Amino acid sequence: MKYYNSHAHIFNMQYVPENFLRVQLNDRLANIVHWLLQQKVLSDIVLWTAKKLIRKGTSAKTIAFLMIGIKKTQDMVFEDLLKNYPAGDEVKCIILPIDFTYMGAGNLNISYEQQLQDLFEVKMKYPNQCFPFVAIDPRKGTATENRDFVKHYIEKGFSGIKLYPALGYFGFDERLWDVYTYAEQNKIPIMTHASTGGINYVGKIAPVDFVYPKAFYKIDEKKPYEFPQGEKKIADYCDQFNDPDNFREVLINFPELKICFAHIGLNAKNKIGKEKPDPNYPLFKWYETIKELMETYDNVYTDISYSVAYPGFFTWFLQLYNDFPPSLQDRILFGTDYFMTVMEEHGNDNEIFAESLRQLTPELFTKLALTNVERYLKIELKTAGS
Amino acid sequence: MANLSFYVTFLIALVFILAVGSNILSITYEIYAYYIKQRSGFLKKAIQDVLNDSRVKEVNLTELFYNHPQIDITKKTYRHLPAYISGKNFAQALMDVICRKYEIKYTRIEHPPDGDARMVRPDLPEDQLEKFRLGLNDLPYGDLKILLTGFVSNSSKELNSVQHTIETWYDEYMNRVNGWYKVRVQKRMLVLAAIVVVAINFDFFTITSTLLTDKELTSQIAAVAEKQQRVKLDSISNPEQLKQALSQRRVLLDSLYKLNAPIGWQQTDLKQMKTYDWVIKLLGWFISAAALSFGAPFWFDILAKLVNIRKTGIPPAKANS
Repeated sequence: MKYYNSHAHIFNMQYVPENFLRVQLNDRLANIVHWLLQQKVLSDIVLWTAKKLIRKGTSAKTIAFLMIGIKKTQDMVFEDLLKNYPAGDEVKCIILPIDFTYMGAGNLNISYEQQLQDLFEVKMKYPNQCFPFVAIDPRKGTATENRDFVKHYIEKGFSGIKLYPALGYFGFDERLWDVYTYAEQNKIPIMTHASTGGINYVGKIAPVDFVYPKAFYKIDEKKPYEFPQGEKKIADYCDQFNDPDNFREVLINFPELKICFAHIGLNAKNKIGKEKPDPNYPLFKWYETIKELMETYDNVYTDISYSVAYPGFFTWFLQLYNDFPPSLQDRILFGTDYFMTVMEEHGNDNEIFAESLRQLTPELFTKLALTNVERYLKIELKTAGS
Repeated sequence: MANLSFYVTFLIALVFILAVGSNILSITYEIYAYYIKQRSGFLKKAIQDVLNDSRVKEVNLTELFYNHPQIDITKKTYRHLPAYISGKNFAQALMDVICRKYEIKYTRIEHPPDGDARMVRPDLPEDQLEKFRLGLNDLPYGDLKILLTGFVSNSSKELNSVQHTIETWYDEYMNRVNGWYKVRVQKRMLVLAAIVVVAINFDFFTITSTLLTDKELTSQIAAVAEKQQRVKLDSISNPEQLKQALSQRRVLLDSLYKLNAPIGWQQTDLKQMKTYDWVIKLLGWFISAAALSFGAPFWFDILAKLVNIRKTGIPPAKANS
């Protein structure tokens, strides 16, 4: 069987900023374990003991997450990912790197450029299975510099562009203008994170750009974004970056842009099947926005990654899928969000894969995991002068 | 004469206890170094100092070097770094890392609409040295670039010659690194010695005063000391050696306890000790820690000399003399 996982990560802890886990993990026990691992004191004993003692609950899941994250190289994580699928299957994965440089969690041990070089080596090793995207953060440079950066990697063999706004920028940042122009002209797929929670900006002071972003349009005409100054919990306000609504202006300017809003807009607060959903959270608001954008623009996609790990997801999804017009059904992708999902109760990729095969007909699985993804990935690079 | 003979016996017993104590300390240190991966960590830091320039953020050559198959294969698991890298391995792997980095930079992968991915490699010269030169030119300007460019300029125009120059330089650098490592070990040994002497109550004054007053015990210890072979201590690099070291330490400690050597906490009544006693004890521990940190080879050498003196010059003192 041939299929794609359209949303996976294989970066490990060596690419994240020095304070990444301290600020990202809420679980104290896992934090202590990670701290001990970083000190290299009795690291093997710590790992072994943690694995033996912590077998249930959030801590066990966090330890499982760390166990993948501390793998030495990206190709080792990639090989671990492939092991989740039946031997003999022709599985292909879209690999999404993240540029952590500007997330406010300290210095990087290994630069983002090297993360990409290492990822390219994985691509060289698995040319027909690994489909890396190049992540771009508008703060990296000017609009032209960002375009050139992306162009270099696309021409090298990267398959698309990754945006992760929660790290501290809006999708309508003017420094992404040239990137969108290039992507639209060449039908290069873009994947943007579109759910609350996850990794986000953790700096203690919100830059002025957060409140008055450098935007395509006159931002002063709108209400300034709310980001407290000098408070510790700026992270709580970072969901605003991910709101798919921010891409309306982008799509007005680039209506042909091939962009996928990940996770079908769902998030931890409105987990399907959750006994007590957060009453204050507007359920499925982002999903509704994504659906509306898909109806308006022909090249807007969504994927079911991460959300697919929520219990009861398929019951909800299949109901609405059947009501979708075919043009929308063609733009939904199967993905898992490996290895972020290992934190969920049944979040291992092999479990997600098995459950997907149980819940979806073979035809539907092939549509979501192959036909639609191949269409999404199709680049039409225009050579100079054409 | 009998008195002199007793003092030699006393010295043999004292030095023997110090030698065994040092050995216990050395083994404890090796166990500690094994767990914290000190040797491999120190080597990596030394290599990092050469390969990584703090001003150049784009590339982390140390990681590339350690992930190169030639080095990677020497790791027991991916989490265990090698504690030793030969000059030849270093030179070959480093040169290849620089060549590969350049090659990968200009390699691209094409995806034809129907068919498998195709790798398009840059046109590179056949000559390895030329390839290395190109890679070197492509490195960001920094200390490593200056160093390697110097090596290439000063070598004859052959790959082996450049490789040999890097190898020689690395070996010399490692000699210095070994020196730094020894200094670091000595400092840590002193700290560890302080912990060990308190843990097993290795009090220099208690030992000497007991040996001076209990002549029978002194003779017994000296008799064992004469038969005692020096315990060979290797660095620990695998769990098997660790197991051996742990049992060796147990045997040595037992040998001291069996001889009733004046160490340990059994005969110390802490409640009876006054401030003056504590001051003397602290001083005793301090002297012991300093003595033990000289290392087992030092004390075993002195022991051998003392045993020789007794065998050739002075007849052994009788236990009741």
